[in-house]
Amino acid sequence: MILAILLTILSFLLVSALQKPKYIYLLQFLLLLATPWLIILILGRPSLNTPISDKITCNQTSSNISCLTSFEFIFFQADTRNHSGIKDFGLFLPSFISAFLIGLWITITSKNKRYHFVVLLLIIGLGLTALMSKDGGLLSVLWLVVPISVLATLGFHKMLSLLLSKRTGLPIKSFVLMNFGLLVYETARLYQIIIFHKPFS
Amino acid sequence: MRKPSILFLLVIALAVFLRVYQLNNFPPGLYSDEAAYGYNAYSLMKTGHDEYGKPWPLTLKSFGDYKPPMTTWLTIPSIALFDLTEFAVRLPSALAGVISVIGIYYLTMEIFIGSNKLLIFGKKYNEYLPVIATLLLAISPWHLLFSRSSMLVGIELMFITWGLLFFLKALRKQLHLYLSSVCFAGAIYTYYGSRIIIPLLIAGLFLIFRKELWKIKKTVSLSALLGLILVMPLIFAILNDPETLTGRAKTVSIFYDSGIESKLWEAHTLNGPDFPPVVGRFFHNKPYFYLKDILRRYSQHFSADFLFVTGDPHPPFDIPNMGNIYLIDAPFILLGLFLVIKYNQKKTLSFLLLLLSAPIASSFTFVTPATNRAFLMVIAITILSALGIIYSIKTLANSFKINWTLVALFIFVLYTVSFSQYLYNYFIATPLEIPEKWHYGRKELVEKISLKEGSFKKVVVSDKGGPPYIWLLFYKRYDPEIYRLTASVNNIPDKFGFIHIDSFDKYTFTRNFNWSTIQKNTDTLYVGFEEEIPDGLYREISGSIYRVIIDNKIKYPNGKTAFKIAHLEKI
Repeated sequence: MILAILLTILSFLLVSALQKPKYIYLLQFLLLLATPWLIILILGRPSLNTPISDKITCNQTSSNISCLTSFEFIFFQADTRNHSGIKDFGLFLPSFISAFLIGLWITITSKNKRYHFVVLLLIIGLGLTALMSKDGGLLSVLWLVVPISVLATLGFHKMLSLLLSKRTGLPIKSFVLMNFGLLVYETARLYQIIIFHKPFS
Repeated sequence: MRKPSILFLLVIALAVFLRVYQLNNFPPGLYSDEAAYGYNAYSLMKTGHDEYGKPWPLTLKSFGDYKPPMTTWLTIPSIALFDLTEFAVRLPSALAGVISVIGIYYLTMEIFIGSNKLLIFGKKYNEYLPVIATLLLAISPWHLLFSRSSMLVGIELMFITWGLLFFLKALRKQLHLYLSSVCFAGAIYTYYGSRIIIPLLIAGLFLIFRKELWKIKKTVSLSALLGLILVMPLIFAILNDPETLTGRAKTVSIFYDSGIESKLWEAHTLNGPDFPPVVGRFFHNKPYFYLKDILRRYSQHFSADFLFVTGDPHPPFDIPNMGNIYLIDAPFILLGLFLVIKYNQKKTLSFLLLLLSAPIASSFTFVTPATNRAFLMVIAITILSALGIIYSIKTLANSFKINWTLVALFIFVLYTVSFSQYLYNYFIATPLEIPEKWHYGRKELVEKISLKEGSFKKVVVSDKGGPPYIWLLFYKRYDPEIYRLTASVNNIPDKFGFIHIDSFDKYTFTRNFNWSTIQKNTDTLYVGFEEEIPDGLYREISGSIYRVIIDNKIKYPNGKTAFKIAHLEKI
């Protein structure tokens, strides 16, 4: 629980340093409610030192480093042992992917050096995850959740701006709407599974 | 086009050498699909019909996977020149590989040094970009794997690389659009995945360059018409026999796999009996499950594991102890991607489009990540890597005030080490560690069978590990017309969607070759894997006792026994 609160605060601090509008805090808060990793930390209460010594969800010959830092692990299928995950869910929902990529695009092309700090944080997170992958455990991947959360928030914020802008073309607005629709659907599905499938019991 | 430099010519010479050196023997063995392309080419050359007697088909029924025809067509002149050998079968892919290497030179030049004048690095460094991209592709493990084997995608890549190049050139000289059309049509005749990727790629290119294309709309319309005319025969063939489309799908598509059904069943079960079924179907339904599965499989193609660490675990596309590209490429690719995003230009979007669309077709199969189906990624990855290298040389030379040639030399040494490791893994480790994945030993097996079979009325061959009939046909250069007269085809597909040949001539191919149940005769030659044929005495349930005489053992390069050829003596 303490770790969940700490990571949440860190995310809020980073986002507030990058973006001015106050509604971004609400956006960040809502998005965090839709992230499996936060729910796992609060409800699952996993042991942080459980080793991921077996080849869990990636193919049998993969190394832990490449497995833990893969899109598949982060967005589709994370570790489910010892309450460290929810089956068929990654650390984030799949609908976060486009927002994450858009957020990454924004930070890379931005002239504001504060944005580059987030990318640096992501690279450091990847490095720390790789270093800790042998000992395993949920702790080894938690280094990534803050930068990815922030980048996804920036991405969703940008998508929201595009949706509300009159200059945005219909195809882009349609894509954004579909993405938000998918986000709502996946969040509802996540809570349905938590309530009825009871993955942490 | 600019005159190629001496450096470029040297790189091409290297590419040719790497692709034809010992082509007969590496990869070790002749994979079943390769044998099928070769034999069907032989059959078309001799009789004008494929192995099933169909005259010049637009899809080859083969093992029930309905192979696209282009590779087989291109193999015909090779077989005419070099006879039905491994070299002749693989030569078209090797030459296509060289043509792709040449293509990436001109593609890189067109994107970064053409009228676009995208001088990211300044003229001094930009000049080397095409040559570096060419060199990287020439020594690319991923590209070499498919240049040195007849696996459809090597030739597909050639068509698509030149198709994209001609498309970009058409923005300055319209007539190139017709050539682009021909190339893209050629790709559709070459590989299944192109039937999905080409339309998406063309749609994407039209979207990116819509303003430029609108200015030459007449040429665009005519070239589109040309492309449509060229693919029309294939469309008619598919409409005439839908099995040519669905037949292959059944062997690989996720829509024919039971995995999603199982997950759905589990989800509904966990909902509990009191949960409203309609609501249950809203949360757990096929459309969402398939969408998620497709996205998951798509993302696998961009994983570090697939690209740099392990590669493709599915036979025969894995190179032992390494990924599809060099680990040293990783930082350069990321740098290249950073540059492309930063200097956002339309022409750079075109090859990024290729990178993003390449894994789409593969994502609809249950065998992912797939080195062959996502092969088109290699072009964009190579260009990104070249960009990253140039940027690194320039930045390090300027930052540390050292001669750029020293930096270049350092990077060159890193790649030389990686390349040496690849050469070891490919030429030494592959035959020792995974010869069975390339169906090693079939040539020797057929030779030994041919020596022995005269003394026996029947030859019973295990159908395990690939369709044995095709190697018998290939290595015996069996007369296609006689084969068609005697072949017994089992048109009921197996659980993977493949059809089998039950027998031809005196050869019988037994599925589920089980020594205890197989019919025992002293006038029969038995051919099977090491574990399928016992040594010594064997007692039947009826009480008959036979001595199993092992006539030959075919061994893998690592010394393990692959096959046994045996006959029986009644005691």
